[in-house]
Amino acid sequence: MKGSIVAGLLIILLFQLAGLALEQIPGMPLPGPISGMVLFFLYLVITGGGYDPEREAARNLLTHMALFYIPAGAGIVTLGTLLMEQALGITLALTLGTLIAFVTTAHLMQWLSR
Amino acid sequence: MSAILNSPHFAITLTLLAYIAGHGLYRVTGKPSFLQPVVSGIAIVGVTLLVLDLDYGTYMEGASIIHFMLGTVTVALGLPLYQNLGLIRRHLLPLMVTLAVSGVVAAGSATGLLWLTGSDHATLMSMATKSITTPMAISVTESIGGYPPLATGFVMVTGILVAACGGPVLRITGVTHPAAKGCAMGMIGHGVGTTRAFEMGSETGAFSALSIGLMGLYTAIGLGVLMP
Repeated sequence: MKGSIVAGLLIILLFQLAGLALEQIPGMPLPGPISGMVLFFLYLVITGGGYDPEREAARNLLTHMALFYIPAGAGIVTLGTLLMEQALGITLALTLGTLIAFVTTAHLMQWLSR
Repeated sequence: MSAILNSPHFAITLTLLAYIAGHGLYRVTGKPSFLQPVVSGIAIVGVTLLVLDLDYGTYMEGASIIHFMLGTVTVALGLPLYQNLGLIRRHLLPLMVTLAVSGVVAAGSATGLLWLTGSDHATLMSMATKSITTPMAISVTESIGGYPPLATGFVMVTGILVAACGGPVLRITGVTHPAAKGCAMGMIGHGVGTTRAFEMGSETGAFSALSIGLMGLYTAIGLGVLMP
C-alpha cells in the first residue's frame, strides 16, 4: 500500500517532467505544469481512467492543494507599495470586472441552454 | 537564532503550521468564504515574516520544495477534468461558446479597467489570470511576466467575491438554470466559487467544477499565444 502511493506520485511527476520537456519547444504557449495536466488528462482518457495509485496520489494532492500556494502567496508582503499606488485600478478590476464577467457568463450559458 | 529562522526547517514548519491553523480557523468560524484556509494561511506566514523581520526571498528559498509541488498539483488537476468529461461532452456546444466568451470578458474587463487607471505591464499580467485556479494562475502569470504573489491575491479576492455575492447577483439578474449558475460560479470564481456552487445544488456544483479546468486551460492557452 505504501509502495503504491509512491508509484502514483512517480507517475504524476513523470507527466510534470514531460510538461517541462514540452515547455522547451520554441513557441510553446503553455507553461510546463499545464502541459503536464493535459498529458495526464489524455493518459486517463486513453487508459479509461488510469489506475488506483495515480488516482489516489492525485486526490491526495488536490485535497491539500491550498498548502502548496502559501509560499507564493506570502510574497504579497513585498508588494505593499504597489498595492497602495494602484489601489483604485485594482479595486475596480476586481469588483466591476468580476461582476461584468460573472453576469455575461451566467446569461450566455442560460440563453444557450434554453 | 537567526540561523534557525533563516533555515529551510523554519520555512517548511511555518508553512505547514500556517496551513493547519488556517484550516482550524475556517472550521471553528463556520466556514465563511472570506476565511478561506489559504487566505489565513498566507496571512499567518506574511505576518510572521513581518514581525520577525525575515526576508521573503530567504523564506521562499527554504519553502521551495512546497512551492515545487504546486506544479505537481497542477498536473493532478487532469483527474477532475477527466471525471467531468461525460458532462462536458453532453453540453459541448453551449459550454464551448460560453467558455470562449467568458475567458475573453473575464481577463479583458479586469485588465482593461486596470489599464484605464494607468497600470504597469507586470500588474496587468498578474490581473489577467484572476479567474483561474491558483496553481494554474501562478504558472501562467510567471510565464507571461506577472508577479505570482499578486496573481495569487487577485485570484483569492475574485473567488471570495463570487462566493459571497454570486447567489444574490444570480437571483437579481434572473438566472435560474443550474448549468448557467454553475458555469458563472466556476468560470469566474474557480475553486472558491465552486465550493459555494455545490451548496446551491449538485448539478450547479458539477458544472462549476468542470468549469475550473476548462477556464484554466483556455486562459493559459489564450494568454500564452497573445503574450509569448
